[in-house]
Amino acid sequence: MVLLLTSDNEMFSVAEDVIKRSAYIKNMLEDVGESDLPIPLPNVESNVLVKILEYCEHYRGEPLPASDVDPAEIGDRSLDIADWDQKYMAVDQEMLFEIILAANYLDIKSLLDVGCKTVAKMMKGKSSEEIRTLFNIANDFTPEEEAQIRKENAWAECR
Amino acid sequence: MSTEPQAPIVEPTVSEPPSKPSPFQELPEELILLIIAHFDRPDLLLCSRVSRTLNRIAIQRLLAETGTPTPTAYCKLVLDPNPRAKVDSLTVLMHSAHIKKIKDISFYYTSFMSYSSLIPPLRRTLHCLRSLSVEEVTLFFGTRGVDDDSKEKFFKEVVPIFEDILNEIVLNSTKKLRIFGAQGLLGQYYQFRKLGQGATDKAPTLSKRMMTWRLSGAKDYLDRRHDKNSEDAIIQDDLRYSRTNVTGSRLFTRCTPEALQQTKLTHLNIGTGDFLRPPFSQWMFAMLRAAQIKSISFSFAHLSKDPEEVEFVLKRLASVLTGLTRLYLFEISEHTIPVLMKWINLFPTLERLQIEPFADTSFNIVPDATLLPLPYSFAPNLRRIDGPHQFLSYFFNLASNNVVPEAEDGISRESSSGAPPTATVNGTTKATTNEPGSGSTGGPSTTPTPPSSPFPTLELVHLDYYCVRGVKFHLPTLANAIRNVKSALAPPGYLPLADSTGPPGTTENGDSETDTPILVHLKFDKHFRGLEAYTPRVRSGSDASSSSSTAPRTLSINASLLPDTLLSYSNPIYCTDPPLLPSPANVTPPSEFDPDTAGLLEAKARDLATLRSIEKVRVGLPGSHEEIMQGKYNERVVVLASVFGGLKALRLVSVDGTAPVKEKVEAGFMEVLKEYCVGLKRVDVM
Repeated sequence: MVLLLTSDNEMFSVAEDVIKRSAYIKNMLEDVGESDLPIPLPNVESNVLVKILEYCEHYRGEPLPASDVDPAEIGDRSLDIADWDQKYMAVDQEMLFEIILAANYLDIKSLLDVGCKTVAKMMKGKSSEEIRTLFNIANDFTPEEEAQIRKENAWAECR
Repeated sequence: MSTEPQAPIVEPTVSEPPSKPSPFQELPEELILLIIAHFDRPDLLLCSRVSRTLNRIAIQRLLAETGTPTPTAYCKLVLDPNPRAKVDSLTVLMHSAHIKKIKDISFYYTSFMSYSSLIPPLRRTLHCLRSLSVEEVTLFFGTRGVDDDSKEKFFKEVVPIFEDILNEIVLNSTKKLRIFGAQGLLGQYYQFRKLGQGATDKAPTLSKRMMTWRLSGAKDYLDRRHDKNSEDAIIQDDLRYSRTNVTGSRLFTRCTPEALQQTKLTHLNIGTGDFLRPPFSQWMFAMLRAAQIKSISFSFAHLSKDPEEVEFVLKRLASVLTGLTRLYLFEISEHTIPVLMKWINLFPTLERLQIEPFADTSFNIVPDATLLPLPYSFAPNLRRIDGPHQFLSYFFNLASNNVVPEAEDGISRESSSGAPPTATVNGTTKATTNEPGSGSTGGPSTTPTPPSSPFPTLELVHLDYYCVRGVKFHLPTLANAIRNVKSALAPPGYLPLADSTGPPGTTENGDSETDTPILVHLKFDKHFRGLEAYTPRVRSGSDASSSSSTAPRTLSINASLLPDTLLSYSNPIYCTDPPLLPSPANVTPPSEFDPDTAGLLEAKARDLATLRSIEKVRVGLPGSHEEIMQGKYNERVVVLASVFGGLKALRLVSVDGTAPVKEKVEAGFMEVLKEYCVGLKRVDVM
């Protein structure tokens, strides 16, 4: 059993073969060895950790991904997401981004990948205006820049 | 398993207030990159229109993907003739809200089948130049494919775009312009007209035929002719070129007055013949006349086959490049040397001259010196000269043999267009009243005023020795080249400024003494011709990094495998400090007295003494920076270094030459080298 302490001071006791999906914790356990002291996770809140542990529990026993692959360089552009993962990711936006941040912090590659794919899927096929609305992103282009880029787009399409 | 506390999976209840920044924008950049890694190029372009941050990240990703990782420093844009081609670097670049300035931009126009297919990429180029600020522009043209029937129609469309592009480049404050590779772009639609004797200076005569050619441009032509402006590039073109197709109308590329006025061009690189012929010559020569061009890179490989046209073009270039200080000539072959020498002579302000041979030539033949015109000024302000040793030998041999008597010089100098600075020529002619080239040995001068060097401003001679494509490294050849250079730099009787104590003129070995350093650059390919007899020993990893105590032994053993010529040269006896006087006695005496052998030894000793004056050596090696650092060529480097008894700085240059990093060689190797070259101070790898 491994003890985890979240940012809001909740203590979790987790089976080692569940949490070793997090490369961060796996490495720490290998470096430190058995210990009764809890591992502090100052970047993860308890409600997010619950969600993360749900993921790790589901994939308990599945082989761990190779640790040295950079997902950005795989060149895998498919946005296929497994059914269970899709349902798992059916959360509100804030939780979605919390999961991504936590997966990044805890170094859970497969979860990070699913999270990023989910966001990419939400953006795909949408216009820039729709993406702004979707994520509440401010349009911070100057009017000149916006005109130039719009013109560029029109130009690129008609040439 | 158990998770504590046993919390049910609940949806978070907190709904975000509208003022709260979007969690998306809170994501660190590397996570946004992970998200957009799933996008294809059109998606990424869409993404770049969302916000400034996303614009930067998406464009960065797109540019990296399209082969432009550092866009503001250097952009290589390969433009496909197909306007419906996939999203390329240029499209991406034009979508950036951040990139406004690019230092160096290259447009590559792939091979094109017809002029109509060249139009879209050219339009895009123009559009790009109008949107961005650039300092250096390169245009690289592929070859033109099958002739298209409707070319006349497209000329009317293509030529004005070219004109706009060229003018836009100048209006963009571009400092450097490079044009390469145009083969049959438009130039072949004009032919060069040979003149009858003496007709060169006559005013153009307007024959009926010429009128027919220029139906469309007749009014313009008459106006210009009325001005009788002989500097007008179009008039000059009209005198010497005509359309090959009689029915073809005249094509114009003209500099706008704004471009002429605002030009900031200082450097031009011409690796094409097309831009020196109509219709581009009209733009080019007018622009060169207006701009303050300081340096030119020029390929001789693309010049016309017609010597008369070559002469016309080169003279025309020289007449507009009056302030030129740097000349870099590449793709030079033996037969172009006389032409080239004539041309150099037209640039009296030249400070730096660099010659690079054509890739396919071994550069072995020395051209006939008698073809050279007199008087010859030999670029009197020259500060630095770089070239293959064959060229430098030739150049300096001529310089030391071609000092022109004063009277003759005075007459012809007045008629020459660019008067060479008089100090040099006078200084030389005063001191040498009789021809030094006729075989008189001179000896230490007895005249009250010692002669100055014909190259008083020369600061460095960079001597290249290409041991590539079957050419062997041959030490006597190198020594001879160095002596040729030295004897021209310090004519007999010349008193070096640096060393006023010693006897003037010559050293103990009979070489001329000069203040101008000579840098020797040996360039090897993987065959190491001249050093083949020596094969590097395969070393284990631990051996390679071993201390200096074992390394020298290894190397000296290997040195014994050297071919005979180098073996006797690399005898460390010549590398002591102070240097021993080289004499046959210092060399292992031959078993029985043989005057030939003795003479040979004497010659070798003299060669080594000549090489001892070289303080800086570069060795170009056929491997990567890493291979050099790992010591792959160490033994060969030691062998080469050991023949330069006075070596102070050695630089090993990788053939890659991509990353401009400079590193010192490992200390152990330095120790070994110092055993052979006592004065060695520095060894870099670049």
